[in-house]
Amino acid sequence: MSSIVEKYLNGLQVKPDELTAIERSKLLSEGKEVDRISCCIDTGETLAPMIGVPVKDYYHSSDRMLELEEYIYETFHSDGAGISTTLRGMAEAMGTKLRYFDHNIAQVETTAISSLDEVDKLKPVDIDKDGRLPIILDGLKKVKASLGDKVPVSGTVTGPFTIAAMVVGTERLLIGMVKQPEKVHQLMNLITENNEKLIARMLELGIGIGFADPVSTTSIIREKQYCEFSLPYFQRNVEFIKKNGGGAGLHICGKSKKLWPYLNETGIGCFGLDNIEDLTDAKEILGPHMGIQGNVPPVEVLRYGTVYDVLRSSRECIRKAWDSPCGFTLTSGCQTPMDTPAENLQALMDAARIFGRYPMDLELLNAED
Amino acid sequence: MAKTKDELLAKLAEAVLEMEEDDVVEVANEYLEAGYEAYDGIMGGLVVGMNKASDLYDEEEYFVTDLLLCSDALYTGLDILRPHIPESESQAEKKKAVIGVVEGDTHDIGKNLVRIMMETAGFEMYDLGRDVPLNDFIDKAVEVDADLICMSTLMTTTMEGMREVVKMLDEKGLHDRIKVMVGGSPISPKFAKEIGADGYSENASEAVKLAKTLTGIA
Repeated sequence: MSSIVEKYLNGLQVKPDELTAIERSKLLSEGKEVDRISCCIDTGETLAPMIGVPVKDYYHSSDRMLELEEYIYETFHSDGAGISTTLRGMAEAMGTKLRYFDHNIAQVETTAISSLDEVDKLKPVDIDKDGRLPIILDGLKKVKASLGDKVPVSGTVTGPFTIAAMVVGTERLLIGMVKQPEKVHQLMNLITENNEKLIARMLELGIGIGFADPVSTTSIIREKQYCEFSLPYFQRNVEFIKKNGGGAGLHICGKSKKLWPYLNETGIGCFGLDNIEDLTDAKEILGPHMGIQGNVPPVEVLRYGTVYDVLRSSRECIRKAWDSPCGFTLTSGCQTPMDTPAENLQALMDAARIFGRYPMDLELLNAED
Repeated sequence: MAKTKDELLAKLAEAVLEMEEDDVVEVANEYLEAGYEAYDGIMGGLVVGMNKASDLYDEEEYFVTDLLLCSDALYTGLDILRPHIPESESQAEKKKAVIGVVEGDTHDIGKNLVRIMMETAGFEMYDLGRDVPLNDFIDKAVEVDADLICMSTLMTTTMEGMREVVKMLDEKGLHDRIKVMVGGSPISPKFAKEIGADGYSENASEAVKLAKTLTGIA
């Protein structure tokens, strides 16, 4: 007998969703039954080419941002829509110069300050004027108005420590933690306040807040440094969100397992792990405290793999984590790579519909090909 | 009491490992004043410390930050000791490698660490920097008669540039004598193999082992 994966490749009719994303999300938060596990396509600037928009234009137009979110929702029925400040957006608003490309993500050309001695030169941001922050907020407003009744909308901000790397330069920040710790703290304080201003405006729109914090990884810094220079400032942002009635999630790229016990204390609602970490570990350590998300390999599987690879990898993720105590969302282990084939994103969503359908068919989920 | 050569070498190694630039300056000068050979001071002192740092990195005792600080201490020491190496010794035959971050990508911490660790291991490194035009890898490799081309990228959009470089090497018939190694977070052993690269390494210390294997010195 041919496996379900083979049947899919030969045109299996996948049972459609019975709920909208927002209905599913609401029922899940109430602990009620739903049609399938959650599944999100990691959206943002890298998907702009899918709608024929140069990445540079996406970055600078709230209409293009809306267009992409509408396309993603209508095409795939992903369980989330949103816009990210992008990793360099807040740093840009603080004075870092970026280089934009038609077919690549933006990169830092010159940092806002070239040494930690210049921290005093940095100023609080003006959310309505600086960098692309007004465009991003306008985009979120439009997405919320257009899709807010169908799908949960969130705004992604950057973790304070990662912003610091983009403001002064990663290498200088890392060495600064050892040689000029007080200057790093001064920088982190200002960044945390700037982030708070942006978050306040996002919360006014009634959306969720996600954090991306790729520099706060134990692939780069040690646990002790995370606890001293990154965690306290992230915690302040999370507390601000919770005080204002919002919810927060976090993604850290690269290794993060050593940091999980600390995350359990922060009050975040979910954590997305990189594909180099394991969902079984995450379910055990983070699972009792928050929802977990992940972690199909973005490059090898989503970008360069086949539909077959995506289904198998997604099934593996669902096997490991579908019964995580505070919920599981199937998604990519990191940002979706540019030029990822649409059929692979479709396969990711369909994997949730096939293997993650309730009531859970464990025989199907655990069957080998 | 004057310290023995071994004592001073151990102190040089320790100062690099402990990231103490000031100590490196002090001990390196004391070492030279005592009349010991500069070359030994580098290989038996500074480099030993840096290798130890690399081992600790493998064991997840040291992190990127530590390696950056150790390498600052290493280079401080090299600046002091190198001018005292007799011309004949510094001309010793070394394997040569061209290194850079491929065109379109400006992230270079990983590349810098690989350069430092390979330099420490005795390779003569030609660092082209970041956002390097693909042709430059080959032009430079030919110019300096390199044994290796090392390429890094952090982004999927620039990965394909690596394929181009390998292709150009093949077309020019140079791939037999110039080996290619690649790295960076989106790169996998599978991708390296698929584009015809000769090897992939996950981090800086593995890169050194790979470079030695590819150039036949280990």
